[in-house]
Amino acid sequence: METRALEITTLLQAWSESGGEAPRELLPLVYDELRALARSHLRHERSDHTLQATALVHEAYLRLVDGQLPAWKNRTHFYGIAARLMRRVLVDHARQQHAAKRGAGERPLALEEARHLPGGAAVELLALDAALEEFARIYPRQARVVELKFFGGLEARESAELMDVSERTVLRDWSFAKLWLSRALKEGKADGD
Amino acid sequence: METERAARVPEIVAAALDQPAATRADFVRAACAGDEELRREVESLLGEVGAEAAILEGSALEFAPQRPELRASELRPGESLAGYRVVSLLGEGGMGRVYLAEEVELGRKVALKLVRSALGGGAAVTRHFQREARILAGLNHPNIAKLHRAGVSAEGAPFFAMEYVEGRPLDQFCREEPSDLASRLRLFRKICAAVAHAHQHLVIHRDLKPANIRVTAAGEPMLLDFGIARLLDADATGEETGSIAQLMTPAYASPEQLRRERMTTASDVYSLGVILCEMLAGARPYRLTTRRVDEVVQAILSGEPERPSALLPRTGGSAARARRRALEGDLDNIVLLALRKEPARRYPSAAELGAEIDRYLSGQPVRARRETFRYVAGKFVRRHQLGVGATLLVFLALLGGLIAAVWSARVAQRERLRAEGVSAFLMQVFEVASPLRAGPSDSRQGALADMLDAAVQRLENEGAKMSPEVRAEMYWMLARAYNHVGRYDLSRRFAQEFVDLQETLTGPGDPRTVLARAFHGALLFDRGDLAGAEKIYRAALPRLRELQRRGKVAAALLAENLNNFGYIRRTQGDSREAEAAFREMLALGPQLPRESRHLVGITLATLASTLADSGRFGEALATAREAVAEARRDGAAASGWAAFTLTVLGGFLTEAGEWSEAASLLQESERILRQTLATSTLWLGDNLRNQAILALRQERFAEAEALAREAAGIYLQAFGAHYDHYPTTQLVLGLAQARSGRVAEGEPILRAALKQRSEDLAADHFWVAEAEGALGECLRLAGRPAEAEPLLRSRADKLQRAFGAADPRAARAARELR
Repeated sequence: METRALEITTLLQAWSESGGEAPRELLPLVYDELRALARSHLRHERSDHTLQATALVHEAYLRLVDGQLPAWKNRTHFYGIAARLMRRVLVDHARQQHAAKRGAGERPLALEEARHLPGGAAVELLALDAALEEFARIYPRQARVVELKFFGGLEARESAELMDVSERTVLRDWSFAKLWLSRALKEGKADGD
Repeated sequence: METERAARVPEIVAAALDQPAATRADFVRAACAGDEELRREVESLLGEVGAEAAILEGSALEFAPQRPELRASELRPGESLAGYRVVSLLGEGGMGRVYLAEEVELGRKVALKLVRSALGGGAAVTRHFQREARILAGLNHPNIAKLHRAGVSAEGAPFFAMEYVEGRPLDQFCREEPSDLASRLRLFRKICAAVAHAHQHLVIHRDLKPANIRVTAAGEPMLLDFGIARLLDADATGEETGSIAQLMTPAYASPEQLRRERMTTASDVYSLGVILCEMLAGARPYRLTTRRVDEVVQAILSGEPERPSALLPRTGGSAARARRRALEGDLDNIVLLALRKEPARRYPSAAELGAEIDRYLSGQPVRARRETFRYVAGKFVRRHQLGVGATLLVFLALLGGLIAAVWSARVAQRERLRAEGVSAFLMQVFEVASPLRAGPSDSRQGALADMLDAAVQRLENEGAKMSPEVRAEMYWMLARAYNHVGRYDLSRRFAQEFVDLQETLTGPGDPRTVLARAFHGALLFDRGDLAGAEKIYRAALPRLRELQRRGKVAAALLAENLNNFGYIRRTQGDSREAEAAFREMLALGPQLPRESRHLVGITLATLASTLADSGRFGEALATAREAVAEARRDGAAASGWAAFTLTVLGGFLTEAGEWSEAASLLQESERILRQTLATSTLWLGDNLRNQAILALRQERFAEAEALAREAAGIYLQAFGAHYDHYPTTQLVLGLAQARSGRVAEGEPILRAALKQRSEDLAADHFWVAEAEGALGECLRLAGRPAEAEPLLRSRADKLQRAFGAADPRAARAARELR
């Protein structure tokens, strides 16, 4: 763990100094951490707090960088990629569960077991992910705002800082995205999933 | 829809949303100006208003499907598992459920705990689990609930059968049974004894919390779940997998546990500290505004715990006041010592903590008192060493170092008496106004100032009763401490007192006299007496080198004075001798203790400036980068000295025309400085000065002016107008005014700056040249070329001589001549 934290710290630092894209090596480390954290949350192992993406991402940050990194800049950068990875974690998870449900047809399920299988949530998340994908093709900036807020739990101010736009723009993008996605999700349902 | 049209949609939708609903349709029609397809798209999206509220609310996690729980964790009364028959459900916790059950064979009651998730990893893991369980079953203590059996159910879920304890959880017991402090402590003492027993058997609890401690009707504490966290958290090799860290209730977890580092008996000590705090004060040691886990984690990793006495409610009459008074002092210190972030600084084990409670109960002096003082002193130093102005002489040999030196075993009898006087005195001061109480940076500064003021007060009241040695120590301590917090006036006053007194106390060869003299040299430098300072350092340095070689003076003190001497020589314009001093200092680097490593970073940064002075701009830039790397390598990247290295590098990058990198470094540096230091410190002045220069280059004149004024204010407050960087701020200010068309305002400022530079420095010094150039430029802008040209030419000539034609500064001066 210690060497891993160190590795991440180094990677993050190098990255924030270079100011470019996040290094390739960083992503799997952060992904693993988020997945582990998300899992424990989803198992309700920590029922004493609410499920918040912010809390998770923040916690991942604390665990990974161990409070060693000073700069808010790193923090925002980190949150930026964490949001994207968080989305992947959750979508991967939903996809697995969804597949498990479909695959379940192969053997008879006791009623008791079926009770525990994922219901609409996984499907909804997958639909949202697909809609967001499509949205991003037309409105990449607005889609990024959704990713940062919804999956990363970033405040408008933080998103603004990260994307280098004004806070007002972020808020407008968010309103617009909600309208667009709301329509897209409805259309998706009407198409008959 | 084609891209061009799509691109207009968000803008129109946003504007439409700002309209009242009644006029929205009209607005959209007008905005789309006959483009029907566009209008349909916008209308369609606006049709979602209201419906959209239902999506993307809350957090993505709520969407995620949940993992099915193991069915095995649910048992109904009458059902059996491995020879235990369930009677009733006792409770449900993070790990799983606990049932009251009966052991069929023996008829005894047990608490049967069923873990929610299966044990992964196959047979090897199961074997390991069984092996560990046998160790736990070997724990035999009247206050530890016995583990009868641990096993794995057919479904793969681990289960534990434990001694069934009838009783209330500790927190409930404490709420319901008000009792005096001594009985609380005796109860806690028993808890410590039970944990200590386990520690002697090399078992760490890992999840101590009130819910895991029951108090029986007879008032006996019983510890549940000993070592179970570990049992579940290891793979076949016994390596911790870390996943169980997440099961912990974070509020009682130690910092190392949250970081998933190795846990030791000291980790249990930490949890016991939280529990003790709650038992004594009714609240846990961190004041939190939310219950969010990230806040809890952050507080534990880097927050400052409250003293238990400060957690008691402010109201409640004389009983509450008495309770508070009872906690203040030793009990506060005991809790805080148990809660140290670094495991090695806590009580090493529960036995030690228990022994400390015994000492307190029997009225003996507690260990925590001495430790707290050491700690406070050390912490004080770590926090405030960074407040020192860097371009000012760096007095970073520290209060902590001083105290350590005074305490060291080698001191003679007389010295030892003196040391005791000082430490007793300092201790009282620290007791009065402990920085441990303080919160964020401002109040921290406030607490520190209070502490120092209290020290001065005591010195004035009781100074006459003190031995001169103790008084001298006090003066030195205060001189340095005030320097750290940016009160240079008071610092100088006490430094002078110290030097005067120390000279009369010890002979010329004594290390203290030598150090006092060097300090005196630094004072002269501060007053602008460069030659006087140089003379003193020339005399002091050989002695210091000799003393350091003989082990009488720490390498850090020699390093600091070499840095100071180099700085003086640099200011006097002798780059070669300055460089030699800096390099000598850097050679000491490997001998410096960790807490003095900042000297390396600072010296590298100052060396960079020196190299630039003699025209070696490329080397200077590389050295400044090295300084920044040193700061980052040292894990000190958020500290004041690290910020200083960023300031220096930012300055060079400005000269090199790398403006965007310069801006980002300077801003980062400013943020760190404002977060970590008193705003009056010189480092912030240096930062703002460099930002002002950058703003001037980028023709942001209003900003340049404001920044230069703020920097000048800091310099003036600290040292007055003769301070070596003050004229630079005036140059930026005057130039910003002149270039934005206010030549009449700029001219007198630039003239004054040039006058001061000429008085302080040799005529061919490049700082004089820069001042000439600035005034020349102003006069040229004023339409007085005949007066301007000689000044500009003089600058270009001097810079070329000083730096060589290729240097960016010389090149720019030459360009502007044309």
